[in-house]
Amino acid sequence: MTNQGESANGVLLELQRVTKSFGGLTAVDNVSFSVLRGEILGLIGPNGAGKSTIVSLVMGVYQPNSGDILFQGKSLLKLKANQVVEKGICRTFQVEKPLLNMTVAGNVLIGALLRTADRKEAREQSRVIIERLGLGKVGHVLAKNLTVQDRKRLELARALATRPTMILLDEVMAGLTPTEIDQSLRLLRKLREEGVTILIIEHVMRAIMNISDRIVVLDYGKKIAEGGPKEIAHNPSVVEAYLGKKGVRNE
Amino acid sequence: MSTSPQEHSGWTRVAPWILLAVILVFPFILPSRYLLRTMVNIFFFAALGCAWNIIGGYAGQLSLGHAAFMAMGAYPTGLLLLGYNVPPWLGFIPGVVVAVVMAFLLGHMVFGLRGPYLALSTLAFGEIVRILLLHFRDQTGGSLGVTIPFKGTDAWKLQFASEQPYYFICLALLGLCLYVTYKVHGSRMGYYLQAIKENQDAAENLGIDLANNKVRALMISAALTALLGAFYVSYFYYIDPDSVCGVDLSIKILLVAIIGGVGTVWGPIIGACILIPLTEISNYLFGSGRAGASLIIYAIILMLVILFSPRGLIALLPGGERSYRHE
Repeated sequence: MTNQGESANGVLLELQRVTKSFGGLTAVDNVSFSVLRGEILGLIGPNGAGKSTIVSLVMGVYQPNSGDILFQGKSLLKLKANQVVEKGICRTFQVEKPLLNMTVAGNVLIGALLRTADRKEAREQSRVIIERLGLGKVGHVLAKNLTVQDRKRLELARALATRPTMILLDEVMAGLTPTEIDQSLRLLRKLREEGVTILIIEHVMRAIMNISDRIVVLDYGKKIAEGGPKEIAHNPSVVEAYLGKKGVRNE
Repeated sequence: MSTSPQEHSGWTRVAPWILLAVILVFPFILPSRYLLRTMVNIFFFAALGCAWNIIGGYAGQLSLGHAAFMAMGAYPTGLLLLGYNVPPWLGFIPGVVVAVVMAFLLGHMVFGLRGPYLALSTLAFGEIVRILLLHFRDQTGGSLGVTIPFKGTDAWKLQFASEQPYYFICLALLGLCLYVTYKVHGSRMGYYLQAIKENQDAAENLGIDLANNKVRALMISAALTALLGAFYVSYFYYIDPDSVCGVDLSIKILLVAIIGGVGTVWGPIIGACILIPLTEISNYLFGSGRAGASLIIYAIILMLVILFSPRGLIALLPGGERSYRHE
């Protein structure tokens, strides 16, 4: 597949000096980074660092005050969320938003209908995804009756059903057991092998260090570090952001 | 939740056909004018409920101003017949076009709003149309309304001395509304409307264009409602701003759908079968002197339905669960 409009170095998504403030609070402050095609990029930072805001900016929920966001070389600004999804980026929500009175199968079907109007085809595609995410047994259960873990899986299943080029995962592993986390990591690697690019926000450090090719660290809306997992783990400013500097940040 | 073939082969399968046969021969067996008028009323409100259900039930976008679309169908039809002798079966067209255009404009204005704000703005829309109808009295007759003179049976003008033709015209309109609802129910748009009702943010993040789908649903709903308005003026020979554009009419329309079962094809029929006969009974018992009594009855029914079968009465019927789509 040729990727027109994509720059030569394989950049799929690019944030260029993006700033977003809400009133006096600058949630994202002059942040630039790129996600390369086929990579898994971790986005970490303490609570309130601006991670979810970045997802919302990419999806067009918010418009940045300045800067630009490019996907396959084209600006995503001014697009609505559904148009961004159509271009091939899909997100999951940190606080799951299932279609409560629809079954698991129905939820996934809605996603699949984006790429095909044919009900039969969409149903078949959703069935495959549901099996793959281990939701087969609860396919006919209404989403409102699911456990939290299954809701997390459903978020991912639904996003995958839209056949994204890139997925933005906002804490899909929160609340999962270590075994379930391992399953999820295997699944994400598999997805990447299939060509899906992944931007993952996660508080489970073991997971993010394990799976990310590169990691971007945010603190108070600013990018404070970027690099491979090992580099990041030993970066003094990252350690400071998470643990505080001795004697300085004790207030 | 899956249904076995045995469940389908029960009486629930034959019952609708028997019912349809009864409805078709009914006017010939029991040509009581009063009963036929009541039946026409049931068909009419069932059809209005169906039309409302597309936007209010399937998409979950509460409209409290639907009577305005009915007025948009009724007034042009009535005025064209009165002033220019245009028969209603042609005269309905401008009204439907106006309703669809207004639905498009209204939709783009109000569908950014959610929940009570949307409901209030649609209520205001209905009132604005009603007040405009009162205000432009040179054109609309103001509060005196428009009276169509009956000049003997004339099929060209849809004027009939007997009740039977209206019975079948209204039944056909109900059939049309059911057919359109059924089509929407099964289409991709139907799934999208349902997703929008469940969670707009989730729907948008699955690639669904919220505004587009909601506006399209409202346009379909408005077109059907205006068409029914055109029937109203041809049937009752009289319209005024209160009777075709009042808040109580808007409320009655949505009650039919809510009591029967929102987001189902057949629910509004059940709602109309309950509400209209009860209105008749209350009018009989309390007389026209206490016309408000039927409103009290609506309120009581609504409370009972909300308490005991909040998804509508259709849920209580055998096989009624299948009317709702969960997939």
